Amino acid sequence: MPADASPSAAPARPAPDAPSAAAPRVRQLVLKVHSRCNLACDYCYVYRHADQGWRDRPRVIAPATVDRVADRLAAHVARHGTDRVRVVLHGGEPLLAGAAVLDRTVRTLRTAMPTGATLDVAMQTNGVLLDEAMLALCHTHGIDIGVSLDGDRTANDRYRRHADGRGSFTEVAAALRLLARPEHRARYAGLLCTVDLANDPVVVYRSLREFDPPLLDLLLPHGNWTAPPPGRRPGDPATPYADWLIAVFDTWYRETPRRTGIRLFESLIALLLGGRSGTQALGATDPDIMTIETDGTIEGTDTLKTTTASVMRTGLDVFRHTFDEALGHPSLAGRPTGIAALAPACRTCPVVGACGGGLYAHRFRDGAGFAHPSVYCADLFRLIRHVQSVVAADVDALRRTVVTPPAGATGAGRAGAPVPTGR
Amino acid sequence: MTEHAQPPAPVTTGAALVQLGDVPLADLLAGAGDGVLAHVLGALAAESEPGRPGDVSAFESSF
Repeated sequence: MPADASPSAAPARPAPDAPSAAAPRVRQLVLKVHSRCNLACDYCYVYRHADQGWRDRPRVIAPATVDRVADRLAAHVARHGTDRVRVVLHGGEPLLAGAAVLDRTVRTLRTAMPTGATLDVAMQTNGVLLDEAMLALCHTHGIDIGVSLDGDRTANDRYRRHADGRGSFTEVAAALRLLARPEHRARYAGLLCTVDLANDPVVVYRSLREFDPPLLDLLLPHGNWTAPPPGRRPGDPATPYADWLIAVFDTWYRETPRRTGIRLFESLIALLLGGRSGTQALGATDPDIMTIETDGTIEGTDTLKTTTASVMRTGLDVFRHTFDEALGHPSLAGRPTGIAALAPACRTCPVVGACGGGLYAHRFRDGAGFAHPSVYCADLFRLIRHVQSVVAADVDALRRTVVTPPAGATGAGRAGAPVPTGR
Repeated sequence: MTEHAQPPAPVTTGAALVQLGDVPLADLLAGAGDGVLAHVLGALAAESEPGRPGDVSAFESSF
């Protein structure tokens, strides 16, 4: 019997045969509860990129599959003594699964959790079906909600449209106004926006900010050396994406008090100061995200769908394989990580400490794998250098203020333990 | 020239490119105001608290 085949109500401490604390483990599970979408966005990786596996999968995850996922996750958490794990309800569009399926899914996952382990649940939705009834369910289960929106009406509706061509902005904006109300705000995780060079960056930022999100995710469009992103010619020294992002950064960074978080930028600042990244796009994070499709198939991070199907597909599923068995696959923790995974040019790059090679999927070249700089290398380099110069100047000014306090001030500049400057 | 003007090429990911120096983080935080930098410094200070998972986003797996 596999080591984590039998879930139990074990406390959240390592089992006797537990792997070391440094061993790979699943910290976030992306659970596909519905494989179809009520939008037909032009750029969607699920339906428009290399992996067309969605065509063969059930529309809705079956109760028996959820049961098995819950068992596998609970056993994995118990074996590793993990005290906290997150499940992201995903699709397709997860709200298409309906309230009953979502309710049963979360109840099943929570019931199976070992004593002492916390299960955080989140959902990434396009927002079209987000209404009071769904929000009530999210409050019942503590489901945090991330909504995809690309900016104002013009920006959003360029790609995020229904199959009949209608834009989605009106419906999503209504949902966001609901979500931002005081009674629902606790469930508001943030907005996810894909960068489109055709849109004015500051207009996009200000449009998103109008919905008062606690956090913004700005995503670079998925692409690689074989299938480059829009406007990004591999090897071209032009940096259109850095220019776009820097315009947003400069606007956002100078707002005082801080109005919202932008995960990409805050991760970059943290990395520059020796901290950790909160995004897979920077900092060579560990591959600790696993994806479960509606048929129980186990896959690695969803972004690999933009490369080739064979790279992504593990051939494993929750009915026959444990999570620890799956983690050994090259699309999960079985791939090279850290500095060893990077191209030679990256290893000696002066910004590799912050860049980390960029998102793994963006390094891909057909027939040659992932040992390349990111297809966004020039953009990442310019963005990192810009943010570094801004932050370094501000840290310098802050240190001078602290070490030499204004006349009459007290309490600053005391001797103390050095600030840690690295991980 | 400030000490972080030309950081040494890091030999590993995660190496700081901007040095905070030898001023206690609490003092830096106290003087940082309420902007973005203060928020990130606060998060850095909290990183070492026990029980805090590395919170890498899985949201961004999606559009």
